Amino acid sequence: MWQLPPYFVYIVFSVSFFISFFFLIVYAKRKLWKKEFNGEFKEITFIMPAYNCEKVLSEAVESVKKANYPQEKISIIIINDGSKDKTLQVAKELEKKYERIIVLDKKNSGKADSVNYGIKRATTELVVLLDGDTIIKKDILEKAIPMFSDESTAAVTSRLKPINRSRLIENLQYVEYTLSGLHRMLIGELNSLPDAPAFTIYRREFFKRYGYFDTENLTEDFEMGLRVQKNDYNVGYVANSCAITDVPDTIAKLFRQRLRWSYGNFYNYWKYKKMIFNRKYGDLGLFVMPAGLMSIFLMSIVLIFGFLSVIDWIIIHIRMIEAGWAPAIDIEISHVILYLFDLRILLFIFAICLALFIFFLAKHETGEDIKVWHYFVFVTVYLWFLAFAYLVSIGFFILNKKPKW
Amino acid sequence: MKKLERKINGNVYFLAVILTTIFFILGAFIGHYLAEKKANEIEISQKAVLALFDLSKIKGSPDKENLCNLSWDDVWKEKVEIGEVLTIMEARVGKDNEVIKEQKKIYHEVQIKTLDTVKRINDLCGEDWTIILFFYNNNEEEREKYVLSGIQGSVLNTLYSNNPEDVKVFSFDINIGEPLTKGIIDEYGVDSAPFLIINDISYDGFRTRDEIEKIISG
Repeated sequence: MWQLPPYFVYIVFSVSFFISFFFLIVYAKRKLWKKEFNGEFKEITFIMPAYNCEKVLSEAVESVKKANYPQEKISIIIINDGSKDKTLQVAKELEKKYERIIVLDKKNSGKADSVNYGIKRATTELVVLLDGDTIIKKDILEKAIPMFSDESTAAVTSRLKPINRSRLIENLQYVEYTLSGLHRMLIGELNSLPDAPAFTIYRREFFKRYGYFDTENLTEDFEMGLRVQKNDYNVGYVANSCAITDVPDTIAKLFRQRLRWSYGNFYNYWKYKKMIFNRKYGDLGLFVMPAGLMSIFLMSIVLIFGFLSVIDWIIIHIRMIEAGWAPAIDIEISHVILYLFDLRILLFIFAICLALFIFFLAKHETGEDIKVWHYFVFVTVYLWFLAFAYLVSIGFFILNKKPKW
Repeated sequence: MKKLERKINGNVYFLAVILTTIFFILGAFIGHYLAEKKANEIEISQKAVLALFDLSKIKGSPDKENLCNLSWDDVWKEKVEIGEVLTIMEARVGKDNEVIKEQKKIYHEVQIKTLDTVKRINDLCGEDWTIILFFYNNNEEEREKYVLSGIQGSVLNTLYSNNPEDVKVFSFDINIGEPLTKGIIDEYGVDSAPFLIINDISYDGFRTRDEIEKIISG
């Protein structure tokens, strides 16, 4: 009953293979494109919006204090965003304990407004936006700051990694962040990185010229990344270090987070729709943004029709059982080979091989120890969970209703 | 700050298109090669089965001794195996594939000759097989008939699996257009699908396993 046209599966495979091969070729070429950076260690100000993060704020600040970077060049501004726990108390203790830390207290108004509040009070050329629940690795600053020797770089971001990995849901996000690390590294090679999350360094001048974070935007960091690109500056990417951040530890929290992010993505794609398929923006406009949208679109279609097909299959098999059919597992090896005659099956096998290759590539490039069985669950279950969040967010977007925190 | 000089990496797009095309062509080639190879094997098997029937005729007129001495089990199992393989191949490669259509035509001839032989063995050799002719609709556009035909086929598979010595099932695609099959369709007045002929009696429409077993025992 719910049938897609037979050629649709070939469209899905074509698009998936094309996108995968595109990025693999970029990976192969990246050493040819490699840039050398030799900038000085500039003065920087960490802007740390803090909301209800009493447990991790100290760790976040201490990670900055332990960074391989001249400490006399680092200032920290912690903005307590009307926290209901002891975040302000913890921040004040850190202010007393360390030099060059200022604590600002304000009424709760959201992360974007808090960040803007902090940026306006900074005086250094570069500002580092670090969420209060995010820790940096020691070497991240010494790798990121020199990238600003390229005058076209307005921002630099890095790979992220979850703090906790005790639950399956956290490990699946670990897989996601690791793969995303590889993906963003390759987009960065194309000077087409459109987002700048949890840990990002900006030239303060960019905010003066092009405005501060949009406080009405659910994914203001993504919007800022697009704004950087739209104004023809680059977002650099540090692939060989990372920031470590808190992630949702339950399915419900994860779903709410992804609903907000998905909605935010659609909102920002709509806001910057003139960049899509626009040659003026190079590979970002011609490929990265359309590929992102196409992937969401195809996954949503596959999810809907896949779900309906499963329902259809269940209904038919119930009818079969009622009619007297007895399920029997009687697999002949010679019959299994017949399935290889089907181009769709062969393409599916190729896709699995490609997915495994990408898995090992991501492990190699990031040095992260993701497990194969976590990856299997990621591909077969988690990705479809994300697709479902995207589908639901489309509904919110069409109805012009923002998902709640 | 200096504006970014953007570029489009045209050669990357080109290579990605080439690689994608190569994978598709490779897959189509492998699938086609394997299907052709298997089709050749099936054709040899089918021709061997047909030759066996012809041989039983050549040795004098088709008489009781030749028929009853026929190595029947192996022939029947070969026919069933060919049928299963063709069913899978048709689902995988598509019913409009010329290789499949050709093999199905030969298979229908195998079925007709096997049916003829089974009936005569039943009459002359003291066997008491239940002979079921099953006519199915393989056209997905006629959704309900297609689904019912599929369910009917599964039910008959279960019936046969439970009674392989006593039940002989012959399946015919009513849309095949093959002359021998059309002959049988006209002979029994088959005008829809699923349609069953059980021991020469026609039953229009879908039948559950219980209903078929009652017909057989009654």
